[in-house]
Amino acid sequence: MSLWRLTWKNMWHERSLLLLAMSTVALVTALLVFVQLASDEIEESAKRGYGPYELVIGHEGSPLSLVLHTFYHVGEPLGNVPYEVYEYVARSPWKDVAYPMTRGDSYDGFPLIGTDVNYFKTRYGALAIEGATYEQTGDVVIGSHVARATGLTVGDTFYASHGAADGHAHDEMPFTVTGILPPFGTADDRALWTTLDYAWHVHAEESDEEELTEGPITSIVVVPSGLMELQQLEQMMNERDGVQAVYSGKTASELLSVVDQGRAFVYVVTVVSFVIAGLSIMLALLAVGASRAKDIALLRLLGRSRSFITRSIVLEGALVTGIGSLVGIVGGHVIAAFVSPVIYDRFGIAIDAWTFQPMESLLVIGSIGVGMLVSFVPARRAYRVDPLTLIER
Amino acid sequence: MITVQQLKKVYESGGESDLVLSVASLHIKEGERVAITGTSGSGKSTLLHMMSGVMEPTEGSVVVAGTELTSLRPAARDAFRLATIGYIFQDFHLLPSLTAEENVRLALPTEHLSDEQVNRAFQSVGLAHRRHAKPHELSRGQQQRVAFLRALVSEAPLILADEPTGSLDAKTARATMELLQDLCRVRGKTLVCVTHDEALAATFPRQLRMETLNDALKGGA
Repeated sequence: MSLWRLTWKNMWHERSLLLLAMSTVALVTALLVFVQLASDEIEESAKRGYGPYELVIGHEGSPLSLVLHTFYHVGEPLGNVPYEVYEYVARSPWKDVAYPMTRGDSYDGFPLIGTDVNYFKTRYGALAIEGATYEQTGDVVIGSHVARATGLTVGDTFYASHGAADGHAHDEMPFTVTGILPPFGTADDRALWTTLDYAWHVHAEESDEEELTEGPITSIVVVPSGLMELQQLEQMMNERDGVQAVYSGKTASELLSVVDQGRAFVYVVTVVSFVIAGLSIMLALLAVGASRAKDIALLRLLGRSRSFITRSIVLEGALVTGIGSLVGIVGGHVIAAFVSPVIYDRFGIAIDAWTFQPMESLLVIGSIGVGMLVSFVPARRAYRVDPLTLIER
Repeated sequence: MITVQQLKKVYESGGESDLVLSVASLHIKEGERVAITGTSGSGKSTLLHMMSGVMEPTEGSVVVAGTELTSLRPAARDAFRLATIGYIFQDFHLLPSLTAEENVRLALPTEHLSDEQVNRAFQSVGLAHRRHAKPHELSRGQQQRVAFLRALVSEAPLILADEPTGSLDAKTARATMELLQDLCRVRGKTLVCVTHDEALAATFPRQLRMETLNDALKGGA
């Protein structure tokens, strides 16, 4: 009987105990794979999150908050800046283009953002839009993810809510979907877009005040005309009261460093978990070995060598961790597939659940190595079994 | 097949030496069927263990199928045992994780038995319909027959049986011993069987008594 066949039959006979050990390895591996997938995508999203808009201007406060709600549509703006701030930037020779943005309302949890329609052209080039872009107050184009999630189509009308999700509805002002944007692979897919003045119009309707033609704005995204100009504009804006200007890339890097710290922490936890999993495998093999002492003695009496016995145990350890890690890798991708829609809805980060990475093959190889290593102790014990113990009376 | 010369086994314990086995000379021919009897502690199992190479003698030589066992290193002795000797135990010792067929194949150095050969082997012991059963699904008599097959089915020319019917009732023991001898005779194998049952030993063509063979029991050295 071959070494592989005997090992497999032994494992099947003790499957309850070994399945537990295998599950531990699978869980730890799945966690590692999922974290790697998520953090890779967060990193990619952070890198492409702001496009060509190297500078963002808004109400003074947290730079990270400004970048997050402007480019990633996460969190709420802390305040507004006067329209004349935008006018100043628009007149400035230090910029190529600048677009103001208004926000504060939402539909079905997705933010409604008012801005110049050329924001898309500057960032994504020519648009293959289904329908038409917005032209007048009340027209809306929706991101591809919003269309999928809400079922809105061209021609539909809806009422936005004040705030993030459960604010009161603005039933004085219906919006009409005029177009659906193509998928961009950024957080812009999960927003609704309309004219800049929608927020002023809604406010005027609600408060019965005269509608403003130039009201407060939430943020201004800027493509600078050069590096020096970028620095000039940033300095100039930060000298104004109540205003901050933030380098989008620098803040995105800070976001990434937070992600990296989080990832490093998870890696440490995973390594510790792997050690614990390895110990549990060793204990399982020791327990199994103790119950198999007579079987081992029999094999020795029949003429199977010591090295045959120890190779069988080491092979068993390698198979437990190897199979466990393979199951874990698949499991990690399955978890990502289930969780990614939720993460996309919440944070605008699209995890590609079925991208397999070179790291994963190293994970399998490493797991097998760990399995062989922790099998050393039970294998040594088996090596020393005296075959005569079977038949001594 | 087996030649033993000046074989001795001494156990050391607490500074004292205990001579448990001393056989001046023993020769068993190829194809012989020999029963070794004796009281408990007479050294019959010790002699069997040294014939198989599992236990090393303190002095003397054991030559099996032309090979001096004491000259072999442990790994070589294991390989020799796998190729040359079929072992049958009192308590059968079938691996619970394997089927009857797999237990039989366990003793094969390589997987060279065809399905047809295995089927014929199981038919010879009346267990063709049980070859895929696990040991716990077999009766004691059936388990012992599987143990016989494990020893007999390979090309090993020598069968060593240590109280092979010790766990069976008298009637089953007699039938089992007859079957074992028939199988060895048909296959031309040499059979050395240790048993305390004088009646069963009498069915063998040759019987050896440890009280005669083992000089240590006579106080000799």
